[in-house]
Amino acid sequence: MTARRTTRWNSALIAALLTSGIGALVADPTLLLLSIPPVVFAVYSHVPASPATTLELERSCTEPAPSHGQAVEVTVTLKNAGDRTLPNVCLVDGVPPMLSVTDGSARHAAALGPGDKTTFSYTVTAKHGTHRFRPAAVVLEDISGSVAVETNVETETELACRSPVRTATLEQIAHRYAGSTITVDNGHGTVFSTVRSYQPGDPQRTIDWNRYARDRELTTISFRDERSRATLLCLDAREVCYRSDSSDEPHAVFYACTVARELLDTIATANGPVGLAVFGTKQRYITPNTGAHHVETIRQTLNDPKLLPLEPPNRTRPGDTDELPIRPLRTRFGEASILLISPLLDDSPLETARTLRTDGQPVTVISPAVTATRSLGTAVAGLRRDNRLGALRRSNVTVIDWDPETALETAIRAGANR
Amino acid sequence: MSNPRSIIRWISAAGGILSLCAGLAVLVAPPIGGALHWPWDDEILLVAFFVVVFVIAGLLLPFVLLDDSDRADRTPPEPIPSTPPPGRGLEHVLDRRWLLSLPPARRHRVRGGLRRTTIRTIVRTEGCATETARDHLADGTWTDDPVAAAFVRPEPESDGSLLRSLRERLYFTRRARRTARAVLMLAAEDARR
Amino acid sequence: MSGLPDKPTDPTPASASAGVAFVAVFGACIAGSTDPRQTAPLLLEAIGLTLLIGGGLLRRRRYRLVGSAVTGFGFIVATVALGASVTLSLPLSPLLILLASGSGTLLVTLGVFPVYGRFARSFTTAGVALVFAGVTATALIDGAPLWRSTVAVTMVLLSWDTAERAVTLGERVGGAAETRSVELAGAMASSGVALIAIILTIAVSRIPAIGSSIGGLALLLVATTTFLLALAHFPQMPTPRQ
Repeated sequence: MTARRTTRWNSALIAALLTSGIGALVADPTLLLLSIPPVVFAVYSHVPASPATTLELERSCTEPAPSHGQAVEVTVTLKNAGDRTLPNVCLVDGVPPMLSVTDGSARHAAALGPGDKTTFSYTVTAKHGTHRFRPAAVVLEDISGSVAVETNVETETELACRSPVRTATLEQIAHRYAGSTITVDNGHGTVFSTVRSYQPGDPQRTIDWNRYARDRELTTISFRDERSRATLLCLDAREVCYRSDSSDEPHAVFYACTVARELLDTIATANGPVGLAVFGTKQRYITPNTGAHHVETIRQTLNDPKLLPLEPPNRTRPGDTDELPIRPLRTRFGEASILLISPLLDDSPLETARTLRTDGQPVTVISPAVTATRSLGTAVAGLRRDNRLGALRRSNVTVIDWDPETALETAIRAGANR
Repeated sequence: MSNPRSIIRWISAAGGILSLCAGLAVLVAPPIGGALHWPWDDEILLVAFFVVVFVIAGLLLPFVLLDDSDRADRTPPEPIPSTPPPGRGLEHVLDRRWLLSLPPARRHRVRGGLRRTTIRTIVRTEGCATETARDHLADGTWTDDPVAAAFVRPEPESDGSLLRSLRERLYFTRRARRTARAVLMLAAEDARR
Repeated sequence: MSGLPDKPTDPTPASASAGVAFVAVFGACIAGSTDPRQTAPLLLEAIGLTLLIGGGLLRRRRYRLVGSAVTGFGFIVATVALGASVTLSLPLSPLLILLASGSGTLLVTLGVFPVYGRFARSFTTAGVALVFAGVTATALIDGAPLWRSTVAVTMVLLSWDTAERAVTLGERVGGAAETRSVELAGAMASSGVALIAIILTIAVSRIPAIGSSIGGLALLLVATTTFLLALAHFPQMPTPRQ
């Protein structure tokens, strides 16, 4: 919270100085007397006390879990919990960045006596994703407007426009071209593998003593290890992905995060190992693992505004390579199924996915469609994306083309069955 | 009171009160006024006062005109932060209504991009290999539009003549537009099938 | 981080304060004019400006074509009224005063009821300065009665305060937001101060002069200067508060 003195009332002082100065110069008592009203106004600017920040905010939504495209009315109530009147309270509500106000105003001004409340409403149109309201920005002024106190008033409000993946299985989504388990035939596992004749040197614990008792034949049982195949959520959040099909639609990076969150929940429900790789202005890798704590770490990483800013980052400098790196995906996550979430607006994700697939790694590309058809240029961009989708399909990469106007699960089922 | 501004303010106010009291005393009790000797002409006082207040007014004026703003560097909450649609760069070339002269490097990029798009669209729509698509591009059989076919045909850009270079520069946008339409039509026909 | 986000999509000045500012600035012009030949063009201009305001309100209520026509007509009426005052064979100084007041009123009106969104604050500041110059010049040159000049100067200050409030509220919360209670509280407080200012000025003018010592006058002028310095607001960096 900050407080500052405004300089607007110096205008009255200037008026007083000029009238008294000219009045003295021309020896006109009327003009000298006319300096009194501005002086009175200038004195008035010093009289009121600085406003106290005694505000409490309540915020409610008609539908806290709306569907995509549904209009949601947000009602904000501001209360002066102090015992002094606040004559000028200007508030701008912290509308989530990816929601646009479609009706009413998220701004309000009121004079609030002690204990007084003021309420206002506005409407937003829900978009896929979890939207957190930001703190409301408030400027308080005394009655004369000579002191301005700027502060934020916070209350936790969330609008969860979910698109959960309930019926599609992890096998359909991520492990289509590979099993959902990885077998390590080291002989020491827990899963029965083979039976063969005893050979000298085999450990006694591997001998099938039951069979020996029954048939008097020495056989050795071999075991193998089986573990679930890990899934790596790869988020393409490079600057080139901060694109949207119209001015009132969220960009592809936001939709990519939404997809990642939904899939994370699906994988966590199946208790499969899951990791995260983010390729944005910064890169971040979380090695696949299981457990509630690990899933929560990934969830928080997806919510990290420094790693995945909602507002487009500055353009990369000319000459900076803005390519998706393949090496870490090959070396660190060679056994994992890659779920590459990218709007496919350039060739880099296409090349990465094809290279990984050539190496034998299972790859699924989930692509939020943010291309527009408003002009020839945008239509060509849409065609290029279609071509990339086609090229991926020809390379045996599972492709899920998600139009955000539809449910994610519908797109997944369509992509998995193609 | 620890604020220097407050100290100055209170000192000024105290000085003002003292001067006011003294002035009123002088005016109320003429003998005191008579005892005070003003060494200069009366008008000098009035002129001096005018000059002083004029200077003070002049000093205060910038504070009024450049009042601190309470606006932080935050985007307004009503709209979604603006992000361009995919293809904005190409839109600037293809959808411009007036004549546009592009530098050679940009023309080269646009042509190369449209050529790649055409090859990939042929590959996708006809299910052929890239080499076959290149052949279609070379012989111009992928479209009925001769302008579009010529635009993406892999051939030397220019023979270096000034007239041809000028023609290329002037008609580039129109030809690129025809090519974009042709390749979009190719994709649309495939979608209809 | 604190502070309001950038301007709203519709930064129209708050309408109630804008209305008060218009009435006050016009009242100041009428109170400050001493000649009927000054008052008549001002009244005509006020009619034109009222039409201009009405047209603006119509445009905001989606009667764009009619609103624009009324606004244009109002503007023409106001400017013609002001321009025609040149033909009234007024002496130069009252004519200049009339032109300053009239154009000031026009600027204030265009500032608080903007036809074009930008420059609202610049228009109101320039307009108020012109009207202030006009009414003080009337007091100085035409020797207007003190009470009229006092009322005029006070109303100029009132119009400036309310116009500033209208523009600031417009910039902060926009024309679509509810602002009436803030505007009402501010306008009432400023009107109260204006009343006090008028009463005080007239009361001081009634104090009989006792002596005429130049020393006493010098001390009074020093007192005036120091008081004015004490009342000045200096810009300061925002200070964090708990």
